Order: sequence, then C-alpha cells, then structure tokens
Amino acid sequence: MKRIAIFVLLAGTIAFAQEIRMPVDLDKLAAKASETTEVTLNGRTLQLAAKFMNDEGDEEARNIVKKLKGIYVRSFEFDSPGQYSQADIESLRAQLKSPMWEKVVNVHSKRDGENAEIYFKTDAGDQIAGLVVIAADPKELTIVHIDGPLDPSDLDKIGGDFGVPRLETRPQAKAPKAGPR
Amino acid sequence: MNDLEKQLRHALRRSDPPRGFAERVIAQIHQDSDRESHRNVSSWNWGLKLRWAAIPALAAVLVFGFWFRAYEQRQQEKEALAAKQQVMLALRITGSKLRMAKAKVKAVEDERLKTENTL
Repeated sequence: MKRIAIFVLLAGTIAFAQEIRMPVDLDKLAAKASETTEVTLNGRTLQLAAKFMNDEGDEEARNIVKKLKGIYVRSFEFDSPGQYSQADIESLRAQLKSPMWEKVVNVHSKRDGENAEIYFKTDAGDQIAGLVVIAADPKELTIVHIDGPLDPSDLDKIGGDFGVPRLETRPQAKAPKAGPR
Repeated sequence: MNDLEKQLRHALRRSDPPRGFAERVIAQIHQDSDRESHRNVSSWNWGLKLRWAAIPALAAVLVFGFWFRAYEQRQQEKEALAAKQQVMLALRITGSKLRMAKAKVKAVEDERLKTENTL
C-alpha cells in the first residue's frame, strides 16, 4: 500500500513536472513593454475555436488546432534594449531541461543580438507532443508554448518549414542538429 | 310532591315555540345552502382562473427558455470568434518566430558552406 502511494505520488510529480508554466516574472515585463501580446488558450477554448474555423483558408489551421491542448504566447516589445534579462526566462528554460524536452534549435546571433531556441516535447511514440519557442532580440522577447500533438507538416503549415530531417522527432534516426549549439 | 319535583315539572313543561320559529329555521337552511353553492362556484372559478393563468405562464417560460438558449448560443459564438482570432494571432506569432529561427539556421549553414568551399 505504501509502495503504491509512493508510486502515485511520484507519477503525479512527474506529470506535474511535464507541464510548462510561464514564469511569473514575465508578467512584470508587461509594465516595461511598449507592446504586450498575451494569448492563453486552453483545450476547451481551442475546441470551441476549431468549431468556428469554417472560413476559406481555415481548414489547415483547424486541423492543427483541434488536436491541441493549449496555446500560450507571451510577447513583449520594448522601446529600448536591456529591459529584460536572461534571468526572466531562466525558470522557463529550467522546466525545459526535463528528459521529455529536447532543444532542437539554438541560435545566438552576436551580430544583431537575435536569439532563438526551439524545444520539442516527444511522447512515448516519439511523436511531437509540444513545442516551445523562445525568441529574443534586444528589444523584443517572445515565448510560445504549444501543448499537444504536432506533425512536422503542421510546423510547415504554421510557417516554420524547417524541413523534416531537422525536426528530430525520431531519436533512433538522429541527424546532426540544426544550427550551432 | 317535594320542591325538586315541582322544579322539574316546571322546567320540563310543554311550551309552544316562539312565533316565526319555523320560518326562521327554514330561512336559515336556505341561506346555508346558498352559501355552500356559492362556495362551490367560487372554487371552480379559481380553478379555471388558475388554468387560464398557467397558459401565459407556460408560454413565458418557453419564450424565456428559447431566448436564453439563443443568448447562450450567441455568447458561445462570440467567445469562439474571439478564441479564433487569438488562435490565428498565436499561430502568426509562432510562424514568424519559426521563420526567423529558420532564416538564422540557414544563414549559419550558408556561412559554414561558404567557409568550407573557401578552404
């Protein structure tokens, strides 16, 4: 009985650890930002939206959205550089260090200060089960978390078009990672 | 004959009813009967009135039900349209960031290929 209780507790802890939570500190950035975009859509809202995506051209988006459990976007534009620090997003990066998450793209540009990190969560069947994008430049910080299954073709449709080999959705056939680490 | 007997005889002596007693009794009986029938009519009237009142009340409940359902549907539509706009915005932002990352990766690869070719 005690073992079962410990197992349940551990399973619960692991499941909880797999949930990505937007850092609380991000809300403070909104006060400094000249423009803030915040999107929080849970599974129920996404299903509701999918039902009403019947316009011409909505079909692709609807097919992606109806599978998802959540979309969370925080985007801040600042008038001047240096309004946010790496510490503001460190708690998010810490959550992405779990084995379920894999950093597939990590670009740091010294020339223009633009950085991009892309993480995929893979499920037991090596399918993409989530996506996190952290895009930062001196005057803008954007964090996107898409929770739910995504096909590589979905990313093409969204606009990524990374090319399937770089997605690294199947660890057994790993190709060299895209971009410098 | 003692006093007690005398008193009893006096108390139980036969005497005629006062004048008009029978008429008053009959009149009272009629009055009671009228009141009873009036009460029956009155309760029947109330039942009828309630039945008639139930019809508009039921109609009002039905109309309110339909209106509330339509209102809920409109609210849900509004919520869904707002959610759809949010979804499209989120996908646009995600797409732009993915494209930006792709462009960066491509630039780095091009740079690497260029360097390799130079060597």
